[in-house]
Amino acid sequence: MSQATEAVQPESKQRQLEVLRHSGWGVPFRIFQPRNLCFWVLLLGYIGGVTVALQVIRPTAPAYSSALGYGVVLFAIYAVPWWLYLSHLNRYTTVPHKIIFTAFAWGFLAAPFWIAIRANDAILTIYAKAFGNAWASAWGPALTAPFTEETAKMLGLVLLLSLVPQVLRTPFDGFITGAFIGLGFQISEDILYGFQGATAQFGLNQGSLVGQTLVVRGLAGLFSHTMFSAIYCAGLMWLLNRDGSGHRLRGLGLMALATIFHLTWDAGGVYFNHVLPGAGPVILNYVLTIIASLITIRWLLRTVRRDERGWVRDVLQPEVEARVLTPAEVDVLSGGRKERRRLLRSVSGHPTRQIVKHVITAAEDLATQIAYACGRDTDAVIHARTEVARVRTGGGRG
Amino acid sequence: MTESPSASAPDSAWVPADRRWLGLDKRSLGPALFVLAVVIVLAGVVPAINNAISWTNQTKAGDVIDMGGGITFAAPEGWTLTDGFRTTDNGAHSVSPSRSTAVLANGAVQIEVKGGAWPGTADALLSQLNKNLTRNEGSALKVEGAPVSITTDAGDTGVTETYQSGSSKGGRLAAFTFPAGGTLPGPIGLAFTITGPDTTLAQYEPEIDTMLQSVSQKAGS
Repeated sequence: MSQATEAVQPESKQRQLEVLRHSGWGVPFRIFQPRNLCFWVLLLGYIGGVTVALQVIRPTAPAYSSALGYGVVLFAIYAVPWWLYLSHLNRYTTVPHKIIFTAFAWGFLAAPFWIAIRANDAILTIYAKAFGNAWASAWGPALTAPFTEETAKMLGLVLLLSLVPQVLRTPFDGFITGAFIGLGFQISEDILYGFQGATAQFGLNQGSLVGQTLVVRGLAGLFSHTMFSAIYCAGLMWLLNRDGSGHRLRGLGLMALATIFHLTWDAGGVYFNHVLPGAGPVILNYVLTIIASLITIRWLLRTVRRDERGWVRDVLQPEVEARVLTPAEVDVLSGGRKERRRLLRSVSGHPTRQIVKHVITAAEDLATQIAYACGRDTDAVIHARTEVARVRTGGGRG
Repeated sequence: MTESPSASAPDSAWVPADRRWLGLDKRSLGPALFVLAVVIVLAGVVPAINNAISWTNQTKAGDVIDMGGGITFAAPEGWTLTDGFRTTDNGAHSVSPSRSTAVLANGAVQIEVKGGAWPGTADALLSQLNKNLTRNEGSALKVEGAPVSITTDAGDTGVTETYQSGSSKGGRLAAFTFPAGGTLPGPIGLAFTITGPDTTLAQYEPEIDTMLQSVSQKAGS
């Protein structure tokens, strides 16, 4: 830490250091931790997931290899906008990519194949044995998957919390990690459904059948596993009181709500069948579920990002006081599209707007470097600061 | 606590000596054992409970299996209907003829019935089923003799063949087709795949024949 900065702005600098300590932003870590039992369980989950996946797919894979190929390619493409959108949400005190890939892989392999598929099959069969096939077909999915699958996905976050406790501290971290676990689960399930759905015409038209699965599951996926897990895992962070806010009940409520959304989604309106005829139950069920989930996710995003935005501001405040950044630029970095648009509108001319955009990007780099340096003035921080000054003048060679 | 660089841990995965148990970080034991316990319950105990419960969904004389769109067949008596519905089952379901399944089991013998969109003939469907089986089972599969035509009690025509899979496992395929019209929005194929040990399969042959003879489609249902 520079003596000069500390002498001039001790209060903002202290706040910056406190925020960096509390948020875990920029804390170094690694997933490979042989002394941590959770690392071995994580590995076991991946191996178990691959093993069961092969057992499930292998018997019919030769006859339906086209469906499998189409499914992998189409749903990999489908995952790209999801990945970009979630990465965009993950822009404040960012959850590192290593954690995101670990979470996605848990959702893709371990949660569905190592845990959920075996539990689901067994519970659905128990229902059929106890209550008959008709009852199990109508009610089974809704009374199975929300409990087994949400638990299976959540276990990935539990392991990560033990592996990187210093990095995953806030409900925002739980939201992002959960969303990527959910995305992995969703893509994995979609590929499997595409593969299984391709048997519908005895092996003919496998590509178009996978295409139909993509349309149906792709649309349903907008309100599916990614969202359920984001809500559930943010709730878990509050339940465990990771951020010290004491909102344990809120956490429990959110976990219950995610389970209910999953339940109503899988039930397809079966409970309305007794009062409404035809397609009414299904439409009513989905419309109500979508509205309720949109309201929840909007409130949750706003709530979990509130602290994060304040922290970005606190981390960059010393830079504002040192006149490296302007308050309006920090508003953009700690805000959203609205603040960005406002700043860009406040300047005129395309070249100037380009400069502002470059300054914002350079300021993001500076914030990241400050976090990685734990608030110290390392060479990387000084370089990032110089870069802000360079692009501000129009981008001459620095 | 001193803030000198020498006091910091060598890396983020370092664990102090007094926090280890058998070389593992004591703080990781709780979450790891919690996760393992949940996995054991969900993926071990629940399937074990399922295996311990026996099926009671045995078919009785006169039970008719609903394959959607008016397509039905009479189930052999005393088999377990592990998947699919009887025509008398009441539930919040409607069977789609283009995505219908039924599975009947009796000991090691299993009858898997599948309905799906099929624009061709029963012979072509049987040939497609053969192709799938050959791809999945490779050189272990040997078709025995030529396909035999079946005329059902309702006058529909289907085709069947037997095959050998490995040294002691046998199988039988049967295919029927129903043209579009009435309750069927498109042409439908119905495929029976019957598998089991050679000896047991032979024992059930008469009732399997009767089941195949009973396949029908009532246009008005």
